[in-house]
Amino acid sequence: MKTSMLEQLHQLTAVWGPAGREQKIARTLGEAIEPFVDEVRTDGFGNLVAIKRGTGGSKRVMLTAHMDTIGAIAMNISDKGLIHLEPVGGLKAWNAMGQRVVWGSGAVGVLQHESIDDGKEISFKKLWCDIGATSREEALENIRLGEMCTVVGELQQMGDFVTGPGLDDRAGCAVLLEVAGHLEACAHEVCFVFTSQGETGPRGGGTAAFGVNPDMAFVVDVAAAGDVPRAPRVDVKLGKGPAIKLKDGNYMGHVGMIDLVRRVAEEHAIPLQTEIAAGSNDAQVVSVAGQGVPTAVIDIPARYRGTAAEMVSLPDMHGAADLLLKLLGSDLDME
Amino acid sequence: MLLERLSNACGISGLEHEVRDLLRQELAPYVDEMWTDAIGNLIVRKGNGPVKVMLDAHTDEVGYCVGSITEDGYLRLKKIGGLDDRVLPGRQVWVTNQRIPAVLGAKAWHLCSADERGKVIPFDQMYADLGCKDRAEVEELGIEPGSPVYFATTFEHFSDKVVKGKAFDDRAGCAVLAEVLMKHNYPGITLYGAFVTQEEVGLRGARIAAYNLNPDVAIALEGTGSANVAGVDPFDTITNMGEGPAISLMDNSAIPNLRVWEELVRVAKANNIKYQHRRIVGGGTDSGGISLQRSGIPVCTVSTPCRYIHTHAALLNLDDLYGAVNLVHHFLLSVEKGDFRP
Repeated sequence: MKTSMLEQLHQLTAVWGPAGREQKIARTLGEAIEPFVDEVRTDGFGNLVAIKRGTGGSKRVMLTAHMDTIGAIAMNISDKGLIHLEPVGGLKAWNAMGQRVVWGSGAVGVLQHESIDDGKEISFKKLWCDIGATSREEALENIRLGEMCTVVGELQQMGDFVTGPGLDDRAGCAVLLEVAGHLEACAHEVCFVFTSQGETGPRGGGTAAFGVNPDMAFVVDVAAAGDVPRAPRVDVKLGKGPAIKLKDGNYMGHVGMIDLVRRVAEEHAIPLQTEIAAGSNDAQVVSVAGQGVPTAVIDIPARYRGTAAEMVSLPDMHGAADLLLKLLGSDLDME
Repeated sequence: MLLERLSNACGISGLEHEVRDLLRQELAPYVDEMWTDAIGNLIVRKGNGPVKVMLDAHTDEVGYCVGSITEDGYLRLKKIGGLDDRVLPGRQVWVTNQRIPAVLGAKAWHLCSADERGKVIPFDQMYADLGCKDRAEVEELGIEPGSPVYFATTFEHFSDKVVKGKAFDDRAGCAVLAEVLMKHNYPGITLYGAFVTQEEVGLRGARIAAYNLNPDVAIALEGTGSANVAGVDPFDTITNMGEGPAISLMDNSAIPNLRVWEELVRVAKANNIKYQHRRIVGGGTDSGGISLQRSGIPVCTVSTPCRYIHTHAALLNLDDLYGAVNLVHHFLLSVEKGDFRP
């Protein structure tokens, strides 16, 4: 039974899983992909690896999307029962203020900030989570130090776009599931890897690539679009298709892989944008794992990353899935 | 005591032979095998069971090396690891492992403007003074660019429990690891002690050790910051010296493997071992390097709290150190008995 991309996204964004605490989302993804693959395993770092064996003689291809989201970690609890936190990944204090969160224990809370006169004073040091406890002891019945929380919110569709927390990179995870569900017999061995700690590092992608030892890798992530006021100066827009990354702060695109992706997109008339960005993603560690892995990044353009209302385009996600399916249907030879 | 000998031994990152030699000599009667790998990690093995456990502690300490020698016989220094410029001027140092005495000098107080007096002396305006009259006299002492420079201080007891010394980061971890090896046997597991090189300059030795040993689970043993001192908000103390070993929550290099973390907390509670958590994200430990090797290695950091870490006079409480020994011991027993399967 195949699930629609939107339905898949609803299911995935509802599952809790900040960096280093991906056990639940790994279980959900494992169950979702299991009907379409030959083997599912978890490696020593916590990456979920699902393998669909090839019909013979061809390449081993790794597709990755990180399954963790940003969040915050409990570092101190005050006598009043308020939980003081530090960010896990790129959660900014100004995006956290006033948001509802869910903790690993299931406790719910709200992130609130000392009253301030100037936005420049906003800081995680002045932010806390209130879970309705009135003492440290009461808070500790629900939360232990080291517990993590994530911002929660409903996924909502608005025309072609969807918005909600955690689309970075559950959108990429949904694309990988879409590819797995629609991949017919394939000459290549395809390893779908849902990586751990993409938001704090990136880390898991490297150990995954070491274990899988692929001939090539495609990293599917979301990337900042440049189509809102004061956005990063990136020539990528929502709704204009997935983007092939030429470089970012920690990765130089593999020329042969970029040409391959562009050629296949052109052959099948799949819209493809070109991205030059700052920052980093799994490609940073995948590309240099083991003896080195030729790696391409296929990004889903996103607005408002790191907020409770990240936004991506469903057609862009379908475009990314189509492009990957067409790539896997090709000989994957680089010129 | 062993911690005293370890603290008094000298070894900046990459030049840890004195520490390695000491550990080799101390541990020889207690281990089945020992070797030094290509990067300079001293590895010891004890037991030959099916599960492989790696305990890591780094042998290097923060310090300096000679950057250049001036014509008039002063040393310009380079930092090795993270050092606090506020606590350096006027301190005595040792140059080379021969421990040639020198002092960290700077422009005299009466020559400073009012503005300069209120400020920390920038490191690049500081120098080491050996009392030599010119470059030739310095060179005759066997000092050259690259020669190591150490905090000149020796271990002492401030009280029965509280000791002072240099390099507790991470000779405290080395002491914990050595104590575990000397006191206990775990025939059901293969226990590797990895005394690793170059942590302070980028978690380097631990990566190589973990890659080569490929353990099923690892624990990094550290000395970490502690600031339960006058004027610091209880929220900002990182750890509290005297309140037990610290089990890490998360730092910039790693999020502890959740199962290993939970098992450490479980054995601490089950055996009434006083413990605390390291309540800060800043900094990194060998766990970061270890966790990313091969297909990923489950690891957590256990630290002995040290006040004034990375200075001439770090303090630690021996109860915390022996608490760490006890915690690691019970974790290893749990792995050996099969209660915890990595």
